[in-house]
Amino acid sequence: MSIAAKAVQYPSLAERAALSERRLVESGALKRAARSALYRRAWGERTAQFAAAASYQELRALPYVGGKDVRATQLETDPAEWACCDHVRFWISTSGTTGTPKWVPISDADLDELELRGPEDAAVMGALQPGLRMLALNAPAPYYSDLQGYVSSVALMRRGVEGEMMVTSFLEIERSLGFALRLGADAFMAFPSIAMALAEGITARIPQVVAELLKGKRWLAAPATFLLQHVVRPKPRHLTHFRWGLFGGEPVEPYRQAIHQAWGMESFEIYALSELRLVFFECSAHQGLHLWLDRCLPEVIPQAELEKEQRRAGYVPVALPVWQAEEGLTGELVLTSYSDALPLIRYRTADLVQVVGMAPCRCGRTDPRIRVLHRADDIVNLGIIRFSLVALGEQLAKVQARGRVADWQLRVGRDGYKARLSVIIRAEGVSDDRGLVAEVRQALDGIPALKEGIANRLVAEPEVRIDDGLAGERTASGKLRRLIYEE
Amino acid sequence: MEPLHVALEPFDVENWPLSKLRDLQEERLRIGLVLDRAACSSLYAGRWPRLRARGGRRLVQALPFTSASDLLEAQAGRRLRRLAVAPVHLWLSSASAGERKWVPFGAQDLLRTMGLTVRLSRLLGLAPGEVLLMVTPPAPLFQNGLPYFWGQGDRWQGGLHLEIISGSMVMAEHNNWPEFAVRRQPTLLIARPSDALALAPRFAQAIGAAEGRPREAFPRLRLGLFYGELLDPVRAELEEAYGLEAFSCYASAEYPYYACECPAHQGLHVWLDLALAEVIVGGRGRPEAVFLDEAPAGTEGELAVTTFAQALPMVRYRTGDRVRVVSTEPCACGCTHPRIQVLGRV
Repeated sequence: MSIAAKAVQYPSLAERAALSERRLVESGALKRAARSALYRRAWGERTAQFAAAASYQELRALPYVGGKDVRATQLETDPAEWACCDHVRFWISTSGTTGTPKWVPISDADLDELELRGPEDAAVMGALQPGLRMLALNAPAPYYSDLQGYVSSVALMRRGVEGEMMVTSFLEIERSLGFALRLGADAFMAFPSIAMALAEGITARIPQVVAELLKGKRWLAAPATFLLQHVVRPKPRHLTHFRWGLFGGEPVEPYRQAIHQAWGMESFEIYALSELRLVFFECSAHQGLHLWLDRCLPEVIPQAELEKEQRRAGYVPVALPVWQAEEGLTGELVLTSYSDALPLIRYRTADLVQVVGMAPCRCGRTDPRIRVLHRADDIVNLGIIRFSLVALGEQLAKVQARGRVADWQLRVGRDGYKARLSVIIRAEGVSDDRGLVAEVRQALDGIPALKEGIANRLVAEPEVRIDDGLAGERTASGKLRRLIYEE
Repeated sequence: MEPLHVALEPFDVENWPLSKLRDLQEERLRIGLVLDRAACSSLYAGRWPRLRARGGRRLVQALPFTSASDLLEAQAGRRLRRLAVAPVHLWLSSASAGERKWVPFGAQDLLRTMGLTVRLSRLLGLAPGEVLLMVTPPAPLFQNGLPYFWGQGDRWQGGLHLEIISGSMVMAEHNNWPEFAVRRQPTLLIARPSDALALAPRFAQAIGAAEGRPREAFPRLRLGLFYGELLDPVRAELEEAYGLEAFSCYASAEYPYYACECPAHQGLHVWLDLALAEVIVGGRGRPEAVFLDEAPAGTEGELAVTTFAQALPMVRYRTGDRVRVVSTEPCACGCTHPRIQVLGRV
């Protein structure tokens, strides 16, 4: 695939940054935000002052908001007070991995923005060409992805671009895949872990898949199945036409090579939040996600500031605009967006990102690029499988029969491309080492999402290990770090 | 970029006399070249006699019926690429058991579906600002798109500022959408009857009651539109449980035109401006059919439809559903489109 639009002269990063600040005012996002109970609660008596902020310097005085604020507001106030617009068209829910799901309003103006800008943003990949046939995997209502396929379809329609969408849910994916293959679908949108679990499933069930593809050609089906099963040993790439994969929900990097080998697809990472009416894409240079500075004002709270916040109660970490960050800086992404029904104002995403670069990308675009690493909070994100360390701690506290878990640490690594969890425990009152390990392993099944993930081959079988000298990496305040990412 | 021109059918088409509706059908068949276009689809190729004229209603009845198995066969292998006769934007599937039947939707089909929801809003007497709670099956089942299409129909044509919450059965236990629905207080519930009944204890749980009826959770709920299953066996139960007036509707991916009850509750109006409808009244060997609008009240048989769809007109498609003709006379609500009662699967 060619790197798109080299001939286009993109504005400089400084010009894009200035545009981001200008849009902050022009969009009226701050004034609108003041209508929402979320920001009235967060801004308190200074609501009118904050709503009048007219530059990044003034924006920096505003407090951060995060998932906890949204949740608290939604607990305390009536839904009619949450939105900033006159009319809400749709309500959608977040996944609820950090607690009770949050509800997000979408207005007609937000739909307009998605329909008008969505295809343009996606064009950065260079993959969405006229005639594209895409199989899009979604999660059932009330999640936004349940609407996403229809929004994309109408977006293409409004632009007069030919493109076929097959929208399916993870409950129907296997039935839909056969149809998509027969139709010659060339793009696939999903979680990368699901794409690989599907690839494993297809490889194991080649006979049925071949029978599906050769439906109506019985004379060919039997010998072809034998050859494919015993001689050629094919991968899904031999049966499909997928050229492009759009993957979100978890970092793509650990899966990229495996996806290419299994499916023959070029992977593109996408990043979206249910709270954000905006999607960030990788371009075909695959050098990080492009942050659209005309659509949002991204900041990053550096890791050092996050550690200070952990150390000192009440410390408010300092963020800097992404365009001022140095390459390689890691920290939590903070977004200010200009959407209509509920703009995000200094919203802490809880996603730890790394700034990839400020220099113009190989595709020519000048917006900053980031790479999403993992969660900055205590949520373990394994794609569609997410759970909190609190849930893990609760399960481990129940272990009693052959010993007690006195302390523990979770390490997230990889078994090939697949996420693999290692639970390392310091135990007390142990009567039977092996029995305790088995009991801890069984306790992990008390986390429904994790149990499902293991059963469906989305994550590898966890390892449980007793280490009486458990003295892993510690936080700045000296506490044992509960969650370590080994990748 | 252009706004969406949602296909609202001619103004007041619900009240047109039958003769005028038949003329509209003739016009759509002939000027829209429905049969000529359909003949290019792999669904009909080789099965039809060569068409000598732009076909109208009578020519339709000279064509063979199409069945679900014909559609499944056309989906197999290379014939699939020749199934649609216009650019496709979306593929959705039927909800029936067994192998999924996939149906292509072109731009006009999507706009028409959106337009139809405006008509349904009008038929149900929705007022500005009403809140709709839709319980839908997961994609790719065609009803999955109903919240989006209804929202878009109202956005571009209806102008009622309807607010839509959607939830799914599969997420009812994993998400707090029932609690949110209780907080937002919908006025119209759209669901399968069995799902609505199954959700009753979940809604009771949402208001913290161990037992209770959903009507206690939803004091503002006044209407229920029920799809996908026969409503009559549980109509009274649903009305009592939810404290609403229940309406039945009928549709499928192949026939996505939601025949719907009006407030007179004297059968489901079948929209003659969107499709021809026939009732197959029997006949051994070669089934005989009568146009719905010409059938005497009380006629029973399988419903067959010929749609004016853009991407894939369904021609004499046997729905597999047995219906009774309620009346072809104008309804008490003023609507002139014939009414049927769905009796069950053939």
